[in-house]
Amino acid sequence: MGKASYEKLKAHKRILKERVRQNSRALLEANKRLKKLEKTRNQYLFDIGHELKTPLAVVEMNLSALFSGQLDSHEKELSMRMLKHNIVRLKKKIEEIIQLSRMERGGQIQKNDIYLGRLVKTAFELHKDFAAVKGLAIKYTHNGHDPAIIGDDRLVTFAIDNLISNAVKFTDRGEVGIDLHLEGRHAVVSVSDTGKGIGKTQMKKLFKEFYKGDPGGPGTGVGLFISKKIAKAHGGDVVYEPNRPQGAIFKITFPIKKH
Amino acid sequence: MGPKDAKILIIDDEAEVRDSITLLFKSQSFKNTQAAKDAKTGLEKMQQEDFDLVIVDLMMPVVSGHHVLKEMKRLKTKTGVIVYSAIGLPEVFGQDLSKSYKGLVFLSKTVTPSVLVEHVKDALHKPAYTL
Repeated sequence: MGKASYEKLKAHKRILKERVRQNSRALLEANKRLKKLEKTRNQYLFDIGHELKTPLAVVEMNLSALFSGQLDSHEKELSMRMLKHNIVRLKKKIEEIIQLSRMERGGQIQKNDIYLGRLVKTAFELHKDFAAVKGLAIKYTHNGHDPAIIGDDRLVTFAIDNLISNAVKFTDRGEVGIDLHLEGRHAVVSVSDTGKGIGKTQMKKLFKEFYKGDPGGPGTGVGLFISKKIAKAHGGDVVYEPNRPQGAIFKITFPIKKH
Repeated sequence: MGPKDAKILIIDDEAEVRDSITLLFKSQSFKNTQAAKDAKTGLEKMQQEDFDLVIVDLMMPVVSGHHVLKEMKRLKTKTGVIVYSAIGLPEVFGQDLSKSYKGLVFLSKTVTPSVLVEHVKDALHKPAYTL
């Protein structure tokens, strides 16, 4: 073998060695990411189990209490409100699982006319009772607006419902406000609350999949992630801003249908 | 004092769980029920008055139900305890509690209301439910 051929071979060997090193590193990184994903998925399964068990327990206990015939009229009303709300909670969680799986499979988005005013009113009505049980004031303002957008009503309902549900869930006293208004060519649904608000460190991770501000707290950490994805898929967005003097405001926007 | 006069404290971060247990117990004639929304409030209530039984959730924000168990054990209280949590296992944030609390009843929130009520009746006269 000539000297030139030998040098060429040596250079090849160096390149190959470097490639092996790079690929090994990439494999290690991929393995790390997979392990992390597996861990977050397991946590999600645990959380979703928790999120399904609790409303089921509430439904069962209230049915049992109502059938006993021992409750007075005020208690019966409270019990029935809790029944209604927890059936809604169960439906919402099941919807969350379906939408998460649909998103991961890259499911198609339906394109229908949606009248946002009516859709938001339905979502507001669903959460009124639970807000009342918690002693919260809840109001919906729309100034007569009922803009049409184009999209998938099941997804849009999920996204808006999730923001209202979070506001009621994470607020212990005060008020939840839902406002529908127009900003240029966009319809904006703003959901404000007087809860604890979002800390600076939490803000960066707020829309990440499986992120929960309080690991021991309620929720599964996918609601905001899905809501933002839904809004983006419709040409809109979800943004957060602090409420003054206290609380959070989440705004979801959708482009208004062009006539 | 009969078992129906027993003073029961429910510690759970979810308002609807507290209200539902209260209504369930009332329907079974246990009318002396109080509720606390977190571990800290629950422990404060226990300092102010004596309870016959505490029903405590494990996974709660800020301070878990494990802290309540630790405090009750430290104070050598004779109050009965039932852990009523979604997981229903002696485990909190990956920590195994079975060795520290041998024999303690950990009920899952999927048990039927009648099972919960049966455990309450047992807990009011069986020392096995104390820490």
